[in-house]
Amino acid sequence: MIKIINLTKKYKIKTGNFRYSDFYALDNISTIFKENIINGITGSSGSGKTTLANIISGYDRDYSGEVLYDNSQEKKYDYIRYVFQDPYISLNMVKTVEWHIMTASELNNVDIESSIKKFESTRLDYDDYRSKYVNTLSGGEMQKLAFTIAIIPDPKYIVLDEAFSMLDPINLFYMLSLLKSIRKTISVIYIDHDINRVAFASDYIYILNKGRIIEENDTDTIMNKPENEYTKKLIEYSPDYKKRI
Amino acid sequence: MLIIKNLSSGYYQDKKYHEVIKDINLTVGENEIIGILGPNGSGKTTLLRAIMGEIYSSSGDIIYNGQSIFEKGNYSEFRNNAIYVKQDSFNSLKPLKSINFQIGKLYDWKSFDENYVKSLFSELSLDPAILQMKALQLSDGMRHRVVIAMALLKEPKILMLDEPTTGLDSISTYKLLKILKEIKKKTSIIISSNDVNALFEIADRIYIMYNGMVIEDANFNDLLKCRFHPYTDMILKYVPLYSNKNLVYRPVKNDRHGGCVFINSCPYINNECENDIPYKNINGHGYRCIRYPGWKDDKNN
Repeated sequence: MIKIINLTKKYKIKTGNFRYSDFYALDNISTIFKENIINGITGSSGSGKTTLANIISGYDRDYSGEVLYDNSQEKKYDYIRYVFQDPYISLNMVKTVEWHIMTASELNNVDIESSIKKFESTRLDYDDYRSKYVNTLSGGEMQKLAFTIAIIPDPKYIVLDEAFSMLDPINLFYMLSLLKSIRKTISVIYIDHDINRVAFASDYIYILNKGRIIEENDTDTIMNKPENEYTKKLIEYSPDYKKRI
Repeated sequence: MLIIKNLSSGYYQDKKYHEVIKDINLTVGENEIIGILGPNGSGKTTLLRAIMGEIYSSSGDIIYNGQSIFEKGNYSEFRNNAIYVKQDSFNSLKPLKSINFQIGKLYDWKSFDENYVKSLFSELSLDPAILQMKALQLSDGMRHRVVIAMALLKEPKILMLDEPTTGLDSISTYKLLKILKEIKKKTSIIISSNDVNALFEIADRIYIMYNGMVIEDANFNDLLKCRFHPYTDMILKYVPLYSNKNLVYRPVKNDRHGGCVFINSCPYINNECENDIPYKNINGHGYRCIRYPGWKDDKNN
């Protein structure tokens, strides 16, 4: 269980010569991310989704407030893993797929057989891909490899910040179904800007706007009986192939 | 207006020619929105670049207003009437120059009608104040709209957009699509995308590509009613939407070679599929599947 209390993050913006004003990327957030479910976070661009993901995964330590992992401030090794939107910064372009899988399992003291099984669960054949260099893979295949590396040590939580943005629709459908099947062992925090896609994947949804959580509830309640005006707007404007503009 | 006949095109790599798209037939009418749908690596961008004449085409013809664009005099006229907006709108703007500067460059530094520019900007719901801002200071959605506004200043007859909705949140996507619907009254639009939802909301006619071939093309209404190719059926069934929450997807992996482009992921194959497959047409609904309508019956397998 990850608990955050009064979390605030502010940036200083230059407004003139020697004059600065505060910009609140996150404004006094308190909530709990439960275990063994998929938590979905959504909101329009600039609402603070990535800032929140950076802070709870321990990537950004410059904030005020508290983040508690199982009621302690210390984060255990292997407690949480983070997959970025951009796969280029989490992979080494001039090494092979085999090198990535081997190194990840050696560093985490994991059996190589089980790592290969995890790679193959993303619908890529290990024998075809083991000797390929990463810079010859397509964006979707890179994102699948980055996801595999993150789940190799069996972390308790995994944070996906638009981690499947380069996949084509059928592969996206498959990967989101895969998330649903692993959520009993690895809890997921899934971030996306399309509320319909988040509702498809997750069990519990948080809606961010201008650095605040304006609504959080079960998926069914949010999609059928939204309370906030902004949530209604997000649902109305979310693209759906059966609607026609 | 624009007719593409049996176009094949590709790239040179190490002095060897690799064909990427094969045998494409496509028709664009007046005031029509054409959608090109396909997964990554299916040749959508290559097709748009080939239509613009940016890359080498090994065979086929592109006919604009009754004349082939590959003949000498016609190409410049086509280039003046067709505009291609690239996938990353940063490629078309100088980051450190103001928007005013970049519009001036469009007009070759001659004087231009500023009121017309401002009215066009407000039509695309852009504040005229951003004329003084640098491209670096704009957000993604704004930059897309600025590039589309700059394309419209040239008054094109054909506007080609390569993945215009990637990286935009749902509210900006809705606004952009609404604007494209307005622009349709003046020009024809070709949109390539891998997002099923956004494309079906505006496109009038949709071409589905897979591995460099068009495998199905139809009016959007016919396509929603009935699909002739198994791949089209799959992408419209497995859409990550809240209403499909309980759907389960069982992947299929075959080990066959030759014939249909979709042979290795198709759940309905038999031995016929390894032959070359002709492109058939029923009442303006084209498809490239040898097993239609047979595969519709063994759905329960």
